[in-house]
Amino acid sequence: MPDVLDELLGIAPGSHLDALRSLRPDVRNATQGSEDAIFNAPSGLTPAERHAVARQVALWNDSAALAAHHAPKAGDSPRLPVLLAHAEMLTLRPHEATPAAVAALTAAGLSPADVVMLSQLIAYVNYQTRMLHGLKLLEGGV
Amino acid sequence: MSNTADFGFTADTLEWKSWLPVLDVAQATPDQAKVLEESHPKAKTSDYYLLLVQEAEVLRQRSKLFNTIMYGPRGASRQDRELAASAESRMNGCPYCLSVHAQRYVQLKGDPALMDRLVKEGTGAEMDARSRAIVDFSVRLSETPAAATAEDIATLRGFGMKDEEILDVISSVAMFAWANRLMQTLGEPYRA
Repeated sequence: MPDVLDELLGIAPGSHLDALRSLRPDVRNATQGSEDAIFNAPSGLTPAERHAVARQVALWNDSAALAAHHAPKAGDSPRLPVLLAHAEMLTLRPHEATPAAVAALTAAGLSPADVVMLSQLIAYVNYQTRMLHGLKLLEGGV
Repeated sequence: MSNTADFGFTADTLEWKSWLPVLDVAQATPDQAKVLEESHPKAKTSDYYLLLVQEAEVLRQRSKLFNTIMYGPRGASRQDRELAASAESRMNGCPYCLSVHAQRYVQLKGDPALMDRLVKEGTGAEMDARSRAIVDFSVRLSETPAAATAEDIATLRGFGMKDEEILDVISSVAMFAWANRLMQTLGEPYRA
């Protein structure tokens, strides 16, 4: 089954990248499974907040196609600036993390499960952008 | 700590503690217990897994992905995947991740002297040309994905790597872009 990475890269059945990805079907299954669990499952974070954070993380990684994928469902909320500030640190300067950064999220009303969801989401989009760029580099074959 | 790298880097075994409340394993739902069992042999006593299982389905998918990328058969050798993961963990500044994967690389018959230098000196440490190519590519792809180029791919192919092996290195780097960020930002390492 094609996953979100196939869709974003326009990987055609029978192409070089399709053949390479077919060797590890569980990568496709679990990438799509992660996408669904992070964006479509119930959470204390609204879907609009989740897509807004994902869009911004994609932009920080120069992934315009991934940002465009999230843009239509992204929306604002009063605490969105707090979520985005955390996302920026986690994406660009993960070594600057402190307990105070986590405390700022709980002070904004996030439960521990919400903080886990937010962190997983940001880290997952960082995974995706490396997969997307790496796959693109292999596109032409030898 | 003002920087997660301030802890220092080591190949010694480290522990990790969460900055947030973790699940009391006695209170786990049947689904949470199942996800813990699928994730790691020691997940039920690990702060990391007991924290993440509060979003059980996300952890289930992450663990499935991690296991197929790092342990799946064929493709890139497991030490090449561990080398990529270790280089990225050193670069991102995740002492816990580096200690685990530096040990695994050596257990898989990687070069112990190379890993010792990488742990102590960083990703610029002296190493053979093939390892250098894997580390340089991994560091570029993890730092800013667009910094990795077709030239890197050509270099790896020049060492005889097939595209399915290069894709395994890419997947390992992508997986540790995920894993480092959780370990670095939800808790911290300590010595037992």
